[in-house]
Amino acid sequence: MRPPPGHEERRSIVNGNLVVMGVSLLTWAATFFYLLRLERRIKDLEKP
Amino acid sequence: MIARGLLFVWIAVWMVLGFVWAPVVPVLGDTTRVLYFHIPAAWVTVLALAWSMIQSVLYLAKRRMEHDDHAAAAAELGILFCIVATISGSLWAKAMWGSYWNWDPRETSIFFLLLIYAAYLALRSAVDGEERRARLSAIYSAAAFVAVPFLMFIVPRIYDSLHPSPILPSPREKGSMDPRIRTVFLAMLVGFTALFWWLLSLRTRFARVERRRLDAAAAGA
Repeated sequence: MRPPPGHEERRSIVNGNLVVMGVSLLTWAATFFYLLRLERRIKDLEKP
Repeated sequence: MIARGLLFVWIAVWMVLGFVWAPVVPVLGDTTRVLYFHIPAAWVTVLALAWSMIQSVLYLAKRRMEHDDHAAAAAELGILFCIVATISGSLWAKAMWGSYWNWDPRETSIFFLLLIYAAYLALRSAVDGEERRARLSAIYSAAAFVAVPFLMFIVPRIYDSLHPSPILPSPREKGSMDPRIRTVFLAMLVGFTALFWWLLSLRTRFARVERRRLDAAAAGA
């Protein structure tokens, strides 16, 4: 059985999680704003 | 616009809570968080393909092109979310089982599902004539959906799988999933479902605009 992580190891795990969380949030924000822009364009095309 | 903003905040907040509030499953460790993306993507795949089948049947019954637009858009989104589920599952498999692809029954099933619906898109692009394309692809989509419950729910239960099953505990087993993990998981399911409906509305609106332009061009020619 693996021993529980030490102080340094735990800090690097936390930092790694924060990086993954940041990347996930950035990806979601980029996707969302791209979709909003796409919706605006479609709205323009829908105008007769 | 408010609904869009709410969706953005909803997914972002639950994403953060998945990292900072929900605990990890001891066996899965930090990879527990993949659960919040992988299973909602797989759920939306089934939802999208079911919607495609319903719209295909409606097209065959009523012969209205809006139903064909919905069926095609839902199938495209089904494939998109199926790819998201496959990639996230593959990364999870690498972390847990040491290999990106193991030909596990669920992996094999999702691979066949992708092939079946890739053929649907190939069929749509190969057939000329709007009515004929809509009719043939509606028949294909309605028939193809028969494979979905079989591949997604039955095959993985018949054969031994590396995947844990069932993912959500039954009411009798209440308590086997941490309530905080369950809350984030269900919230992400809701978020992904709302995202799917938004994407579907964008794709069908675009298809309508495209058709109007083609009709105008044909009338002008």
